[in-house]
Amino acid sequence: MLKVAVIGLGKMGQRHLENWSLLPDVKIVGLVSGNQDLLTNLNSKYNTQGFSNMQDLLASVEVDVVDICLPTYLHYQYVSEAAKAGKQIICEKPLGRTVEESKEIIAICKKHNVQLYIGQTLRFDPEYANAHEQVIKGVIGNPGVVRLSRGTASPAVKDSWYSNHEKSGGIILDLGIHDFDWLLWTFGDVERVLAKHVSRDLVDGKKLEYALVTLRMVNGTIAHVELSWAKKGLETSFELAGKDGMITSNSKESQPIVVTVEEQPSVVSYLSNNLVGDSPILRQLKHFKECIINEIPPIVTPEEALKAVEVAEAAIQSAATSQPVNITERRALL
Amino acid sequence: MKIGIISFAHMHALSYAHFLSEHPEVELTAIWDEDVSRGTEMAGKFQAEFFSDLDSFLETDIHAVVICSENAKHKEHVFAAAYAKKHILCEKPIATEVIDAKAMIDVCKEEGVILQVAYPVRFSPVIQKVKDIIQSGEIGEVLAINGTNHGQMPGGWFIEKELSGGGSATDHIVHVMDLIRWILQEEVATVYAELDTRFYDIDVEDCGMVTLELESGTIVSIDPSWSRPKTFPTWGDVTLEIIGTKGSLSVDAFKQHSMLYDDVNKKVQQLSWSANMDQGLVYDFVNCIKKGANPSITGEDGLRTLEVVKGAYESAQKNQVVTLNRIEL
Repeated sequence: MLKVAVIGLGKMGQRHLENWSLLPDVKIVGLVSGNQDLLTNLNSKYNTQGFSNMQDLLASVEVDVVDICLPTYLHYQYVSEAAKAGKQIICEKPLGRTVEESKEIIAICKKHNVQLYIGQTLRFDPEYANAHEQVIKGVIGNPGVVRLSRGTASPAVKDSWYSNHEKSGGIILDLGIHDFDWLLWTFGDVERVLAKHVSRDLVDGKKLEYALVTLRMVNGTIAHVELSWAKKGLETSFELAGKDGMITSNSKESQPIVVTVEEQPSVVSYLSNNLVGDSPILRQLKHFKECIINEIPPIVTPEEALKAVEVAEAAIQSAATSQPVNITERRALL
Repeated sequence: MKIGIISFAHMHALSYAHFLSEHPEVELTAIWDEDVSRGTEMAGKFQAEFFSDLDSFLETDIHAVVICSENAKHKEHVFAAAYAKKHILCEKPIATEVIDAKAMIDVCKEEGVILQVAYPVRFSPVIQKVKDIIQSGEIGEVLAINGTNHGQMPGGWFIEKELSGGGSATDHIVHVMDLIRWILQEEVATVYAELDTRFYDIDVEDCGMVTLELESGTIVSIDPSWSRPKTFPTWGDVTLEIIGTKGSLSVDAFKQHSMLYDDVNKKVQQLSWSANMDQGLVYDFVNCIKKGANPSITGEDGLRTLEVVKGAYESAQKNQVVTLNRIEL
C-alpha cells in the first residue's frame, strides 16, 4: 500500500486526488490546503485527513509519497521541505520557476536521497506518446519542420497567481513547458530559440497572453510552438514533417464521441477532455507509482525536466530582448 | 482588348491564360516563350499566335502582357514590355533583387503603364471576408498572426537559384506577407528567420520559419516550407490564426473542398469547389486597364514583400534579428 499525500487542492490537486483514488494499492493519507472549506469537503469525499500545512501533515501521519500540486513559485520551498523529511516526491510541472531553483531542487533531492517525479503529463498523453514513438521509429524519416500548437482559456484571471510572471513565468513557462519537454524528448537538445510574446489586460481583469516560439534543435530540426491563452477550452495540434512523411494531429478532430444536448453547459476547460480510456494523469500517476514501488527510473527524469525549464527561460529572455538566444552559450554564462 | 503572355515558365500562366480567353472583352492573341515547343503548344491550346522573337511579339497591337517567366527574368521582361507601352501583370515575386523591383516600378511609371503584381490570394472570397471581419474590428486590435503557406517541392527552375532567386523562402513568404500588409495596412519592422534544406537534396532552401514584428508591435510567424509530402492530398495551404484583443479568427483559405479517394490513380485528393481566385486577379487587371486606374496590387506591394524575403535570408545567414531598412520610392 502506497501512502500518498496531496499538497495543494487547486485544479491540478483535485485532478490528482481523483486519479489517485482510482489506483489500487494506494491510500490517500492526507491533504494539505489553505482553503478550509475545500479541505473539509474533500476529506469526507476521499475519506482522509486534512491539514493546513505540510509540516503538520508530515508530523501526524505516515507518508511515502508527497504529491505537490502547488503553484510554480512554491515548488522550490515545498520540494525542499519534503526532501528533508525523506519523502518520495511527485511535483507538478514545471520543475521550478527558474533554472536556478530547478537545479537546487534536484540537488536537495539527491542530497536527501529521495526520488523526484515531475508531472510532464504530455509524455503520458496517448496522442503525443504515440507521435513520439513514430518519430523515434523513423516513420517520418529525417525531421524537417515541426509545428506544435497549444491553447487554453486564460487561467490568468483577476488576482490569480498565473497573472503574476514572478510566480508563474507566464504562458511561455506555464504552457510552453509541455511542448518544450516533448520536443526535447523526441528530437533532442535545442540549439537556439527565438520567441515573441504579447499580452493584454482585458476589461474583466483577465490577462490574454500569446507567444510564438521558433526553436532550432541541435539535430537541425526547425520547430515552431504556438502558445495561446486566448481560447475557450483546451485545443492542441501538431504537424511533424520529415523527409519521408508527415504526421498530423488536431484535438478538435480526434474526439470519437460528440454529445450535443439542448442546454449546453458553459464550462471553461483548461485541461484535456477525458479520453476514452485512461486519462494522461492516471497513466502518469500509475507510472510514478510503479517506479516508486519497484525502484525504477521514470520516463521523465528531473534532469530532463530541468532542460525544459531551461528552454522556457531562454524563450522568455528572447521575447524580452527581441534577440535569439543560444542555449549552450546561455548555459555557460549562468 | 488584346492581351499577350510572356512565357509559360510559371505554371500559373495556364490558369491566367484560361481566364483571359474566357473573359468576354479580352482576346488572348499572342504568346512569347523562350521554350519554342511549350510556346507553340500553348498558342495552339489557346488559339493565339506564337512568337519566338520578343520584339516582334511586343510590336503587335496587344494592350497588355502577363509575365510568367522565371523570377530572375521578370526584370528584363517588364522593361521590354514597359518600353513597348504595354500594361503589365507580373507573376510574384516581382523580382529577385529589391533594386531591380525599384527599377521596374520606375520604368513603368516613366512609360505610363500599369504594373500589377500577381497576388491572387487577395481575390479569394474567403480571404476577402477575413479582411472585412478584421477591419470591422470584430476581434479587436490584432496582436498576433500565426501564418503558413506550405507547399510541395515544385522542382524545375524553382530550385535553380540563378532563375528563381531562392527556394521556399522566395516562393512562399510573399503571399502571406502580402495578405498581412493588405489587411493590417502596416509595414514590417524586424525579421528573424531559420531557413534550411532538410527535405530534398537540392541547392536552395526547402523549409524555414520566419518571425516578424510589425511597426505596431504585432507579432507574426510565417511558415513558408515546401514540407507537404508527395502524398499530401493537395499542393499546399494558406492559413492564418489571427489573435485580437476581443477574439480570434482562424482561416484556412482552401478549406472549401471535398475529398476524393481515387482507387484508379491510387491517390487521395482534395477537390476544391471554391471560387477561383485567379479569375478575380485577371478580371481585376483587365478592369484596371479599362478604367486607367491604379492597380489594386502595386509594384510597391511587390517590392515591400520582397524586402521581407531579403531580410529573412540575411537573418538566417547571420542568426540575428534584422531591422528592415525600406528603400524610398
